[in-house]
Amino acid sequence: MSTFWYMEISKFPVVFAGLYYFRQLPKPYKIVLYLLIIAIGCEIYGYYIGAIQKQSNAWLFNFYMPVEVWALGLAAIDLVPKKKAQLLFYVLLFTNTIIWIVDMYNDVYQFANFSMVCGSVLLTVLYMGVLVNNSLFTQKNIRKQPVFWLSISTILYFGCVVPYMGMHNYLSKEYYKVAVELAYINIILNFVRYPLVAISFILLGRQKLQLDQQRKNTTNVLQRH
Amino acid sequence: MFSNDIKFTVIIVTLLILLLIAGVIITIFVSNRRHVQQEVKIIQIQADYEKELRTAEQEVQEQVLVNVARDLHDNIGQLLTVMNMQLEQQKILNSGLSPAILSIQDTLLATIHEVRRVGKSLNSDLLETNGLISTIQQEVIRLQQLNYKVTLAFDSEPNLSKDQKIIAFRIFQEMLNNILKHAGAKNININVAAHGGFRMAVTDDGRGFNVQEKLGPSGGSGLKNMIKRAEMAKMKCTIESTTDRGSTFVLQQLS
Repeated sequence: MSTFWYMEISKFPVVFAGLYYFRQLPKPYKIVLYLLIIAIGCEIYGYYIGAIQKQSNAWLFNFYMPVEVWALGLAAIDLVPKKKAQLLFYVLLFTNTIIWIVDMYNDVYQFANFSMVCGSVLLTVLYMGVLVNNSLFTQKNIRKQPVFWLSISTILYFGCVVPYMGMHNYLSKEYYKVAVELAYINIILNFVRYPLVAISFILLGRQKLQLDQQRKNTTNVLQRH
Repeated sequence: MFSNDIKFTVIIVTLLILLLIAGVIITIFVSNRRHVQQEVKIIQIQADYEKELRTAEQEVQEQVLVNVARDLHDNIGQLLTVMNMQLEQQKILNSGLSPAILSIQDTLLATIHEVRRVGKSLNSDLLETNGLISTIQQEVIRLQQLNYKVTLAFDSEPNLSKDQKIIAFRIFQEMLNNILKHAGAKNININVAAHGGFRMAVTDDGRGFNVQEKLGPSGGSGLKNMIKRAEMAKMKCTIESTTDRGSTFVLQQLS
């Protein structure tokens, strides 16, 4: 079995965790779950086009790119309560979309690595903001906060993928073998990213269930009296 | 050779970014930890401050009660005794004293007795001298005189410090006060156990009440104060009550 399939299979426990606690997940986490399902679909279809039909699948990932950036961006906006920060996030997302449109106008069938780098930097910055806002000034232990795990998963993936994605088109043209070798960076980062997302889903689901149970107990006591 | 250079450059830059991100995460982690520790410290300081404040309040209250008890005994008690002596003198001097005056003397004697009892009840020094059980017994007698059916069961004098005894007795008085004021009870059972740690249970057959409501923000301060005072003396005060089925107040020493 190829590394691609291992990478796809590693995402399924995360999807199961998300679906198991689906009712307990708030909007931003549901967005992340939907995105994950879309990502699996896109990657499998991209693999079918590229590896089986031997055609270029760059256009598919080009169209997936803004979906990912906007989905994670909207989740970040929901995770930050400050209005000014939300406005800034929207401005950055629209700017990134303009860069993507320019890239698409130039060539839809070539992987838009510049847009990818811009989107990655943007998501890293947004989730740094989310992390600082939710974790730095909180009185709670950050290890128990789902937003901490979701933020570091996004920061780690999109922060570390920048050098590889930045060189992707050049290496694919000039040094294809090196491009294939360096693709392992993306695969390793995927293996790191998704378990962290799973931790955030599980933590959030458990915390919500505990809270619901406590509320139920309190209501029972009040009714008994 | 050039391809290898590119490969290593990409890997090294990726690792550097990874290190940078790790650094940021560790910094946030450490900062959060410090923040949490600081918050715990502040809460601890606030709790200590409140405890000290309550202790001081309790001490002041006790001192006031002791002063009132002393005044009752030394001033009002003495005046009433003098008044009784004057009446006795009048009885000797005027053999034909009206029966109305004799009944006044009876009321006066009852007043002297009541003043002494109230004085004793307020004076916490007597708790130290007579012990908690003996003081509780006096309260039981007072209740029985008010036509309440009261039973008291105990094994031995509890091994408590002076402060704990005072607080336990004041809570006991508050329990009785609540029963007399609000419960409309006829029977009161008091059970004091000293073996295996101090435990006092006061049960009544009154109309009962909604504990959650009384302990909530809309409730009065009496029950809440009982619980707070108990905590101050390293004890736990629990209240169980069902409407029309009476109440049980339990004061228990924490191990």
